[in-house]
Amino acid sequence: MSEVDEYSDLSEGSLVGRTFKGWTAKIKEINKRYSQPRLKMTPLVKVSLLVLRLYLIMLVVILVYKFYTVVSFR
Amino acid sequence: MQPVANFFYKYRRFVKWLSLYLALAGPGIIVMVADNDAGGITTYAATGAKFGFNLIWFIILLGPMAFAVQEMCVRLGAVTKRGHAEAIFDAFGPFWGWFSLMDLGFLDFLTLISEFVGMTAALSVFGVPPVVTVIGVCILMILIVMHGRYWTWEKLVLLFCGLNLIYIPATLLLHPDFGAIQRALIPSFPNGLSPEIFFFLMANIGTTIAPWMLFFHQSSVVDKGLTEKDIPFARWDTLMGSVFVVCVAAFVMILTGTLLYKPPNGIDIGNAAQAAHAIIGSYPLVGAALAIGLFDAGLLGAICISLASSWAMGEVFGWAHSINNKISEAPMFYAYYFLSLIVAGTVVLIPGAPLVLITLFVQVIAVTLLPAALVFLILLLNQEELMGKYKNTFLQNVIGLSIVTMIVVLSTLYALSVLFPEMFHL
Repeated sequence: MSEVDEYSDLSEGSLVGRTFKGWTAKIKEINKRYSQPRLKMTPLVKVSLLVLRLYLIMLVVILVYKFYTVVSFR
Repeated sequence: MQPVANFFYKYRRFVKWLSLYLALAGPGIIVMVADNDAGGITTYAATGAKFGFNLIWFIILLGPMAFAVQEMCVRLGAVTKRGHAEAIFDAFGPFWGWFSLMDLGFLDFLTLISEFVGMTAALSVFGVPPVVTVIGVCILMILIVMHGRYWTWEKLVLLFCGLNLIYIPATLLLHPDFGAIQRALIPSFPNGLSPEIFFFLMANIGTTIAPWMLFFHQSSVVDKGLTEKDIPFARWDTLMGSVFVVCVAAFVMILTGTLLYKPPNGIDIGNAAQAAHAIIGSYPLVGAALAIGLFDAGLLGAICISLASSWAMGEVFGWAHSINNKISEAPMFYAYYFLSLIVAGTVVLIPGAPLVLITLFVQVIAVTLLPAALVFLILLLNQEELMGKYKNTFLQNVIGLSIVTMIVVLSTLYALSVLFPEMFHL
């Protein structure tokens, strides 16, 4: 769907629907604008990002575990 | 005649430098002073009440650490003319971009609630009902940005920063034991490195470097229009701010250390307002100063935190996002700012809202964003195509990486100690 078609669609439907479509279109546009990371993906950058992902996964697991223990104690 | 002429030449050069510095000063001082937000003041007050002057040396060490991190934000903002959120999207793509933006928005909102908690608690010392505090603060914060001039906003906020110094005369009124303070400047751990003292060290680090600071500082440098040639002044500004933040933190510790600390184990206080309540009966002026300072700290924190998010959203969504814009010129930017303020203020007024839980949760959520934001900062500062001659030197990288590693490890341990206190015997 071209950009013009996407925005012409926004004039139709309820206010909530139009707002939702508007935000979706905006997010798609942002994703497209930044789809190619400008940073050179050197091995160091790749390793740093991988470590960050693992760190965040570890945090999520800990938070889920904490949530589980709180809920099960109740 | 020559020495006199030389003197006048140097004097005029100094005056010129000073006026230029004063024109460019602002973001560094504001971000550092706002770092001493309601949570920060509470942490320093609790540390003083628990350990007296014994941890002042540690607070002094945190100043250079905060400076090193914020100086990188200044360089990145001045060279790229982009805020931190936009820089992350641009350099690392949508996944890390959305992660940082959403996490920042959520974390800032929770932190904003904790600032309102601090402000309402502070004014409750004077009998002001929370609803009046919340409405008053919202109106004040809306008025601060309404005129559409960055310069005016900055100077108004600098006035509030000046009020943060209230802790210094308040402490001096108590005639603290300067000999004991001098001895406390030598690093030592009273009764060894117990789990309790470790918890306080981690809490102090956690309040010194917060994720919103990186986003706020970089965006304010961009909004002020600072460029590469302004970097030396912006560095001075940040350095002054870090001296400021350490002074205020140390004086809060001295204040509660003088009045509340009972050796050998000290006392536990839940928040700075509780300390003000305890002090105001016997030392009305000092107690009032502690409460006013806490309110001011919460207000500064709220101003900077709500702007950090609004700037970040504006950068990414492409809204006009400058304080130089009037409300009609940047409606979405101001709408986000006003809405986050009003909603956070309202949450504080809800009877039975889990405010203590929110305050604790802030520290946990912070560690999901802080490591990422710091790692991105270091990676961006090492891009020659982006930073040119302003990229990090080897020494800056060694210092930066050491600080980042320490902050990440300690803030993660702090979050774990909040989640699982029994693991740390707390």
